[in-house]
Amino acid sequence: MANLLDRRSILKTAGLFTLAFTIAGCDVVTTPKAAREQNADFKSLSGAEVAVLDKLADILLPGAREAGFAHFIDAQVSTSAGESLSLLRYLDWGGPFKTFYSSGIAALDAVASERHGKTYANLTTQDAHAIVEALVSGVGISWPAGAPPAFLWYFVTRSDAVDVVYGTEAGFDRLGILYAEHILPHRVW
Amino acid sequence: MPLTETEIVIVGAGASGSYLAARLSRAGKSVIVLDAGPGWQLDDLKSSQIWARRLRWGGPAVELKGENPVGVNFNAGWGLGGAALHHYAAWPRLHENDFRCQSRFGVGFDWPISYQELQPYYDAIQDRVGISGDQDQEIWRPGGKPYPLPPLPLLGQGRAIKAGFDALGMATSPIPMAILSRPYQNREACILDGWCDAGCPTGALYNPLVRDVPEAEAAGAQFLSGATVARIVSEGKKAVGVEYVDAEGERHIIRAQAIILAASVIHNPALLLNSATDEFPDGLGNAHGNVGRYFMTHGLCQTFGLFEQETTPYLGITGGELMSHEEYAKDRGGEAPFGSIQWLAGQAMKPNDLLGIAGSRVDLFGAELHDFMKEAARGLATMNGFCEELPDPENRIELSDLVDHTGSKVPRLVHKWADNTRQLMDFAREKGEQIMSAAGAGTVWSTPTAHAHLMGGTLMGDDPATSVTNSYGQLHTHNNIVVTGSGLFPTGGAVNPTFTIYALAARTADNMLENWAAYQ
Repeated sequence: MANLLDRRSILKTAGLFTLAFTIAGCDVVTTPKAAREQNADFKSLSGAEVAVLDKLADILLPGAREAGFAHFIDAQVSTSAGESLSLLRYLDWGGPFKTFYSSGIAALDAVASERHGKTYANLTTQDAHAIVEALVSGVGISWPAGAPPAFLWYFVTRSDAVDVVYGTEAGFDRLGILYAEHILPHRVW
Repeated sequence: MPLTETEIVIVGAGASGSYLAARLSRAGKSVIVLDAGPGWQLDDLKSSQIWARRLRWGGPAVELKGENPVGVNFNAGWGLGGAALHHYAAWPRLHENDFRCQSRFGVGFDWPISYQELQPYYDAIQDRVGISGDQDQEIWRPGGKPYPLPPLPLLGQGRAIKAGFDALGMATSPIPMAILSRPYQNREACILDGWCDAGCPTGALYNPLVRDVPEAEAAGAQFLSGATVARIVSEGKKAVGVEYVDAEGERHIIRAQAIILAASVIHNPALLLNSATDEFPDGLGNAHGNVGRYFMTHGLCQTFGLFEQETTPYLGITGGELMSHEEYAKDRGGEAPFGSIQWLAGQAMKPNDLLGIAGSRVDLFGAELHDFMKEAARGLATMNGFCEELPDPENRIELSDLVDHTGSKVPRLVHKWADNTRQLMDFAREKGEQIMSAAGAGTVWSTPTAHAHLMGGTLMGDDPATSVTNSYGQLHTHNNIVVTGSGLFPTGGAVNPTFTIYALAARTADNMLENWAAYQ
């Protein structure tokens, strides 16, 4: 393993897991986690949409909110499909990526409102969890027509949560496994 | 409209396009290669499953229809190197029976060439690329030269799953891989770190950027990125060039003596259909309505097991470690279902992404998912059963009503599994779980059936009434339009198609250079 690591260190060209964000009017390159902590501007998502995604992050994978879940999604829907790093790219989604997320968020809010008379962001953890369980099982949920298919939307946002928590060097460390890169990306996504 | 002239224009810079550019330009032909995506270099290949997504199709989405739609983007490439830039480098050969399905079993089609005719090209390509494997353990392998390199080693996953095959009396071998187990031709050996899916920047895994593109450029070939071909320009039964739109939206025409279509299984037939003329109102090469017909994929059954012992699933090779063709005989002694199955086992998995550790249990979320990730990162193992799908004219590529930025209609892919293929996938799933259980996995499960690899749609054959091209990929109607890639396959067997794609391209290159007049 020592030889393997030595070779990697030769191949390694950059070690940062960072992205371009706008913080307090200035363009900066930083990590999504830091962008969140410093309230970096969102380019495409509204405040209400971010609130839903923050709540969803806590349910899908605790730690995803803090790892920059909403900023990750915002970055991926703010660029062209040919530039996007969203898993949605693999799934032959024909429409705008922003619409995919926004209409899913609206659908989640509609389900929350129907069940509890609140937005998803204002649900208790238990109620928010129960809705995600229904997304997975497809049982007992009246998902609005016109929104992306419920399971597909869950599948993609869950993948986003896994990306920000486990798809990085920090995530590999969390699992106690070797990242073993050839070349690290210059920025996270 | 700006006009350029060349002897050969190639549409698409993937496996066959880049290889043919190298072969033809080195022989003195003037070659221009057009590709719709970015112009990648090896140091663009970052070790990240998030960044790996840049290498998949990023152009206008293909419209998917039918009872069982087949996704395109994950299988397709985007930019210089095409799908071969992110392919997993499992390179088994097709079997002799794969070339004779109709005459031996009464189903599908015979290929217009035999295995024996293609064997020298398999042999030549394996030496050029550097394949690691063990021809003695690979007892099902048809004839051919020994592999130039010894096999890659078995790691934790491979060792764990091999015990299951052994217990059931099923032979296994290392997978023949286009990955170097030893230094070869000034390229370094693989370090088994499992980042193949994100593209290999070291050149240990063969991709077009390793040799074909540099050779072609050194010989004078030009690669134009961001160049989307809108149509083939033809006069009667001759193509005279292509019209393309560059990254700035400007239209150009390149006049050429020969056109090579190396775009993809989906976009080659779409381009022929989009190039209709008054004389060929249904598209070029489509006099008998065969362009786009007989699309095929492989049914994919993915089985997982959780082991007590450490399997290091995050290391190794994305394509896997272990192969078995014990279920490759198509007729199973007359017992249904019909068709070949290939087992590949021990695919390296990173924590995230479609084929990552988290993707093995998409039903889990929250704290349960965290717990699973910890357990699986230690002891998860996986294997894939690839199932043959027979050609069916109703599985097809056609044009949708949607129009892309060039003004061309985007492709529509229509697909449905036949009952036989469903039964074959059920059989494979059950067998896969038996193997994983016999290996000693504590928990065994399979994911819903998926698909892998794209084939057919521009079938080659001797009869113009039932095929689109001859055995070299020349359209039956236009001898200076050459189709390449797995779209030519009359049947798909159950092995990964890339080795055969290269072998067919090598045969076409030889023929073009020896019989150039036949392409005028």
